[in-house]
Amino acid sequence: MKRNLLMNRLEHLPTLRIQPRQTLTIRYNGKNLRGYAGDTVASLLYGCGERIFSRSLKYRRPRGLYSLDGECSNAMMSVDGWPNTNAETTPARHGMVVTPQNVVGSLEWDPMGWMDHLAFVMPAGFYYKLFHKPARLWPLAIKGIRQAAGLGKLQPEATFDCRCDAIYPNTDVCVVGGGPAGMSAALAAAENGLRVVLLEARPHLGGFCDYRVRAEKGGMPLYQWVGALADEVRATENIRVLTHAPVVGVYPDQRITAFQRGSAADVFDLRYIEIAATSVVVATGCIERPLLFASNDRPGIMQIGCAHRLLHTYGIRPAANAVFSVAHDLGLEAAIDMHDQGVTVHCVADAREDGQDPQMLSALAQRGIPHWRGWVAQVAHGRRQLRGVTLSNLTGTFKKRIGCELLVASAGLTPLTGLVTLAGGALAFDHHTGFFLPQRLPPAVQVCGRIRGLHDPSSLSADGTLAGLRAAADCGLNLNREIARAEAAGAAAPGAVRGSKLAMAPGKGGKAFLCFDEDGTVKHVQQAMAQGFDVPELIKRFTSIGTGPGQGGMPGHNLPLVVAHSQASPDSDPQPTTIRPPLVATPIAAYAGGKHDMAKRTPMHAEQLTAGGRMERVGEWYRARRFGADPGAQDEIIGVRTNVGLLDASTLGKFRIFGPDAVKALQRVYVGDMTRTVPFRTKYAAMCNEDGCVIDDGVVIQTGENDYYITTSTGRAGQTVEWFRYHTRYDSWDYHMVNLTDAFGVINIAGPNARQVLAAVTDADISNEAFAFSTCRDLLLRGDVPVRAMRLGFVGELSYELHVPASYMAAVWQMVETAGQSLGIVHFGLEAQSTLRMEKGHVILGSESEQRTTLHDIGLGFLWCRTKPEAKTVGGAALRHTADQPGRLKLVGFKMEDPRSRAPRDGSPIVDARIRGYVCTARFSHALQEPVGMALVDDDLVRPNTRLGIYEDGCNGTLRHAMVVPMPFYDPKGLRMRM
Amino acid sequence: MALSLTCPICGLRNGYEFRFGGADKGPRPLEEGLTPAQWCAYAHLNTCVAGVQLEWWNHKDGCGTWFVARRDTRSNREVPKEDVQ
Amino acid sequence: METAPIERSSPVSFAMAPEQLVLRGDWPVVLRYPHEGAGPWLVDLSHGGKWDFQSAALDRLAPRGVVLPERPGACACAQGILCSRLNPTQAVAWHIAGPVPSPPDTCDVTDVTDAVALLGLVGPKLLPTLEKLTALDFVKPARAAPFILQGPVAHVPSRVVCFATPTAAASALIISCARGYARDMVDALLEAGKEFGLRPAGELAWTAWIDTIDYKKEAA
Repeated sequence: MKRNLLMNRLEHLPTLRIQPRQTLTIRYNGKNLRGYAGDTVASLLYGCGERIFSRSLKYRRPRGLYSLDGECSNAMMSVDGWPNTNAETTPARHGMVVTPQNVVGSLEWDPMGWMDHLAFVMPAGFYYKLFHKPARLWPLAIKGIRQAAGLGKLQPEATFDCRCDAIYPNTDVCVVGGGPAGMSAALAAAENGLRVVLLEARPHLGGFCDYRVRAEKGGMPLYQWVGALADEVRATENIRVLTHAPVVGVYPDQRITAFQRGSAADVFDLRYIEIAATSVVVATGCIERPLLFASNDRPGIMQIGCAHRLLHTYGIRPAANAVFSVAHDLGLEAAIDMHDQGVTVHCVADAREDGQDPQMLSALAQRGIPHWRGWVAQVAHGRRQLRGVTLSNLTGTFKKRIGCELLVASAGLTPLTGLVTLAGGALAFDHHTGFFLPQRLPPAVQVCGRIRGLHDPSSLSADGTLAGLRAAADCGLNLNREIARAEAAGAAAPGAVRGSKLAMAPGKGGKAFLCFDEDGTVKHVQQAMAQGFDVPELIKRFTSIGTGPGQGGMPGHNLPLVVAHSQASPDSDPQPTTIRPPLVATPIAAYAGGKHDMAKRTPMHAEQLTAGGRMERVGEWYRARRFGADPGAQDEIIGVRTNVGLLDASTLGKFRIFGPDAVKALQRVYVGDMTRTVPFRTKYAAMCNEDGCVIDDGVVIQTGENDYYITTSTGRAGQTVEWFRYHTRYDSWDYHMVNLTDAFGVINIAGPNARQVLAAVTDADISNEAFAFSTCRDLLLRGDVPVRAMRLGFVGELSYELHVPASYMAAVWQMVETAGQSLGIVHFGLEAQSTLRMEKGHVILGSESEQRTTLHDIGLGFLWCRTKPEAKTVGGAALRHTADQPGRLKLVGFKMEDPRSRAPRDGSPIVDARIRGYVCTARFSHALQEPVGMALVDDDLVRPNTRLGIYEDGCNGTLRHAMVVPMPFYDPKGLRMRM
Repeated sequence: MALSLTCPICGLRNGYEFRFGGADKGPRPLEEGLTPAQWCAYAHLNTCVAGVQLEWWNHKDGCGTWFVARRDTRSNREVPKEDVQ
Repeated sequence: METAPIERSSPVSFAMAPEQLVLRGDWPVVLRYPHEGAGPWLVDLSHGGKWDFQSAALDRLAPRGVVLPERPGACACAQGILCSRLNPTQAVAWHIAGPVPSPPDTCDVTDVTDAVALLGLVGPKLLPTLEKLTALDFVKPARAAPFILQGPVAHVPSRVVCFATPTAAASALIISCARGYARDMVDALLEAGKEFGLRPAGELAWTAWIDTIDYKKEAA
């Protein structure tokens, strides 16, 4: 190996994109390897002499650098613990730790390499067939397959220090592709005063001209020409350039998603980009179509652009000597440049018989590089790495074997049309270019450049300008004259280039890979076709060709071509397979973005934390589950039952509804009769959906003429206004709603001593006579703070619910705490509240109900007023139809047969021979000194003393037993809350 | 991402900002004398038009307005008023 | 009974002690924080009075001291009260500068002072900051400032009032969201604006800017 020679970069090339003065070191497989700022992980490894990058998925064949744009899984590695990171698109950073994956031994010698020789037992579709029968084989097979299959290893315990964020730019024109055509389009649109976003997948603008030194007609080298274009783009204020930002998808109304990789200088490592544009210009250009021949995957075989960019962009001579097998002038150009930089080019096999650029041919001749028309690589030699290649003419009658380190192989170009398809455009095969060309573009989508088969720089810029103007016209500008002029300029420039339609090299035998990701070969396609699959779409699925990380990129063109070639009627046009987003492999972290978990905090969040509150998320809110270590919250429960406790109930939904038709709206959504409200008396009311299933409960208080204050459950607050408006959408009623959920904090003072506490903070008469159960009063606390107080009985004790303006809440909380201090007031949380209300048989919707539970099922049928059909109550008809419907789950109370046993776990099924219901909530009752609970059970199990079998996780079939008992368990007459 | 809608107050927005309110089936039927089958037809049966359908949408993350949009169920795109036959 | 003063509190708090603080009514209002920097600034305006007007005949409503704009999306500013038309039947008014006004006198008004948090953003680079949190387009279609947009900011339904040409070098915005979200919204804004130098500031940073526009004009 002449590795020492290769360590040295060509430092003085004008096209370099690395900084030869800034070195960096990465750790690779236990070695420290040196590279330069601007290197990708792949270019750094290649520059340090690494040739085998990975082992393939199925056959464990060695794989090397093939493209440089992450088009296949060859260069997938684990980078700083991130599996399946494509080394080709990952910038090298100092200190990175890179390890190869899918390897048991070493890359050079993998004990799983024998898989390659077993290929004959793994024909296309073998997974579907081999393990299908007998079924008992499957459990054995699955173990081995799972171990061998897949790429990369997840490390569930690993955490990643990744700076992720997101941007949501709005723009008039979004140009995808920063090559000459895309940049021309961006400039044309920007000149007309429009906002333009230009997205480029590579870290720099310039596209396929960025690394080319060939002079064009003006005499300026191409890299200088696109460099000047890029400077102009960057200097244009209304063009926003986002580089290293591959597009993931395009969606209706010109919405585009992409993600961007940040450098150390950026504030992000990964940035999710979602663009809303008025018009999209697709200038994604072309990638190369892999040449299909035996062992076309050997390390040492690479595409034209890969070799050319290694040389000119990264200053790496890819090898000491090379053979070219190409079908495009770009290949001839690369061979010339390679020769000029000291690589021995043995010969250039050109699959085209004619059509070459005469200038190129004379340049090859000048350098003494043989150019063989109508020749192509047939077999690659060498086991782990390329040692040579056998070339043949297109009919396979003449052959010649040449030793070489590098084979630059390419069957031609193929346009990147994924965005066009996703946007709703169609593709049709074009016989002149050999491309699938965009046809019938959807509105406000323009295409330009190489994607249309153009190649000449003057054509690309003219075409880009035209597309930019058309995009500007999509945004509403009248540019008919300018467009006509640009059309004329485009027509005068050279047209689409004739392309190679070569499908396969001649000869049989060996593995010619269509898809490196999935180890899919030409033979697999033929096997699939022999079994009757006739369209590429189905063959893709049967062979899994094009379903790997690279998606349809590399095989997307070759598969239809090979299928069409192998078909009985070879005249039929190739049909492309369907493209779906994501167009590029996208890290999940990019989708997660930055801060995304937005939660609400009550005005007493901090105070509760200070008091020892254990907060948890309940819907959008943080709430205190309990105070202190006891998961059963025993002290809190006993405190409320025997003394007084304090609960933050601020998350309740709260609304004002007013206006002449307010009562009609209430009648529509509440099942009760809302015409019979008494001012400042709390009315417990429920809402059902159309099926009569209960969705919400709360109180309704009339506070004035056509003026009401209502509360809803925490979870429904966000949808309440929407629900009212939806169910009155045809009625044009005059009523208004204000969401006051966050405007008021709610303190619940509950317990036999609650009145003493409240009396200490207000001068108002709050005796049982002046302020009775089920009423509401507007009070002043300490003569200053206005609160709305209600006497409700959710936890079954004397209690006051104070609705306090949120900004006063902290002060009032403190006031009440201080007032209750001498009594030993306790804080209580959701756990205590849930046990307390359960002892009273009060339901919490969602705990004691599920989606199918009607008002009747949970014993709240009395809330429904059946004599107001004119209100067209939501759920009214269903409640009528289901009032006595058999076969429903009904809510019952139960006690355990053994009162000394613990309460069963919430959600445990109730069973006999089959499932008969489930436990909703069950807790140890301190009031009764035994476990009690509520369950939804089949309607034949509702009678008291019915025995229920409870199945708990891990009970091994040993049921626990409970008896149905009447509810409520505690204070059945409700005297305590009326004290 | 796959759907954008035009709110009459706020203009063109991402479909994620909206909640679907079902096809436009007209006002609620009278409850008096409504058979279970009739109620079920109103509440649950949808015609599932393959073409332009009138639908209720709520701009829940914006102004909160309920409005009727015209959506082509085949392309999942909103159809401007003037394009509806 | 105790006589300790009762103070109202804003849902917004920054992780630093204020440099200058006044008590306005029951509200402690921070005028200045240490190390406010050169902008952009994030200012808590939640202490200002806020009112919700709803009526089928909104245009006939003439609340004292408030100018109701006619078109949904439009805002009007008079005597330190910014009024935004949300839809044909609803408008909101926020007291954002100047002496504390008496509440508007109509039965179609609801005091929503404590329902929402108001966050002022002043200075350069406001749009690049917001772009990281919302897809709202402040530039197109072109609107006469001030105007209001309703939509998600950091996934939270919000209202954003834009005061000046949003592309101007220095501008001002007000974001309102449900009070409960205040803390996470502040975190999200500060995080998004970190790269542009966004820092918490006291009310003076806001009034210095608002004094440059004609907010004091008489109600029509």
